Amino acid sequence: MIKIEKFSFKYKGSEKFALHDVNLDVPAGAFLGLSGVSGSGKTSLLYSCCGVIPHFYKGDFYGSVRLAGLDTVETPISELSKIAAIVFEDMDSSFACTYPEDEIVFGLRNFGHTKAEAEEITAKIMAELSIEDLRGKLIRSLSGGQKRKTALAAAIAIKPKVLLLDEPTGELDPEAKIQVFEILEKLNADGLTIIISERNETLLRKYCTSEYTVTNA
Amino acid sequence: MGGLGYFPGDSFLHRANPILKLFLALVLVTAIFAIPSLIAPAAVLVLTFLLSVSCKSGRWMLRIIRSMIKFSLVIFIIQTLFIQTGDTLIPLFWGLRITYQGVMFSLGFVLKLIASALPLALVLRVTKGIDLADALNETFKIPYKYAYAVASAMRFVPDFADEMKDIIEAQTARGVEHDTKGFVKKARLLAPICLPLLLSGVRKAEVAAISAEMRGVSNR
Ligand SMILES: Nc1ncnc2c1ncn2[C@@H]1O[C@H](COP(=O)(O)OP(=O)(O)OP(=O)(O)O)[C@@H](O)[C@H]1O
Ligand SMILES: [Mg+2]
Repeated sequence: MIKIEKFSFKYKGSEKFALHDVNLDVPAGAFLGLSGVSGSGKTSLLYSCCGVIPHFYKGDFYGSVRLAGLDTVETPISELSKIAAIVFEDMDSSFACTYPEDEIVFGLRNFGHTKAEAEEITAKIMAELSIEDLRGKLIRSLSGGQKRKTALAAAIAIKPKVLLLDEPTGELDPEAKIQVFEILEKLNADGLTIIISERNETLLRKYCTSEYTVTNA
Repeated sequence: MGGLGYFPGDSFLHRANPILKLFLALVLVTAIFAIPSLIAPAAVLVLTFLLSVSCKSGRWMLRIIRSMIKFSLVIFIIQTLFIQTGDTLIPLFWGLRITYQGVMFSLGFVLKLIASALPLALVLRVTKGIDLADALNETFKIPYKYAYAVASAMRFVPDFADEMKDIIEAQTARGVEHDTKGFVKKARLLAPICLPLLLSGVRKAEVAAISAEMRGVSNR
């Protein structure tokens, strides 16, 4: 699903490589956990998998990254975004809307669904993730776990083939962390390829089916 | 400046067409600056307050007016000092003086400034950004990407206000006095807040823009 070969990347204006000589093959259906110390390049690697690097963050790009066979440098982001969805670490800033239900409808309508279709799919996804009770509540008033689930719902609504998550359980309590991982486990069982960066090694080993340690040495 | 941004409700104003609301607000603002008389800003002030009451936001509007007045005091003082023509009311140091004309002009200016901010604040309070984006896109055929940019800016207003509050609280915890009455002192305390606020704002806007792109905002 994702094939990374001899890939190195240096952010524009930065002295050193954020990622150096990465070779990684992520087969379809994988549930890959990324580990690595702070600053090792986990976020940069996730950005590279979906084309955020180099389309939005410029810099020196060596080697190749292919997403579902498409070269991420040459393929426009409008195509890449149909295949890979990403949940940003700073999810507070990544919300487009004021309400959870609008947030899910937003992506669906952008990807060509009518308003009625989008609302139907939204209802289904909110039921699946048991977040129907969040309807009509301001996103900014939600708890960390509720926000994570909202961002997750918005990401999977558009039926991506690959889901990328950047430390999605960072500030959550242990119970909420497990809830998120259990949702991911189910999505993965339904065939979704998942790559997740996670600091908690125990959770990572328990739920992910493979692990990759990022180092930028 | 807490309380800026969308507030849920199902009043008549909440349900009105977003473009109509924005248009009316712009008409009011234009009237304030196009009509030379001070009756215009006064009328807009009263009208906006009554409209706020109609959507259970009267108290909120009073709070906004109060913080606008505080903010405008600085402008009023600077404005007054700059106008040195006319009859002296109070002579100051270095040959500077406060003149009758200066005071009257500055009062009018500040009144217009306050009155013109209120209709827009009210529109922000009763309109979801995403609804405005849809309406701009459907009615005026503005590309969704740009219509959405407007919505996104609206969505960030409360976050920005929250963050300002957080920084002020953090400074207060470190012993910085923010309740001070002196304007110069207050301005000097607020200045160091502006840079971190701006920087984090830029970073957030960047994430927001990339996130919207990754969710197809340009495809529509
Ligand atoms: N926008 C940027 N511009 C320049 N350099 C950057 C940028 N983003 C990250 N870097 C640098 O790239 C390197 C890898 O950063 P990255 O954020 O990918 O690491 P990370 O493993 O996600 O860290 P963390 O665990 O703290 O989130 C770091 O040295 C960082 O300083
Ligand atoms: Mg990171």
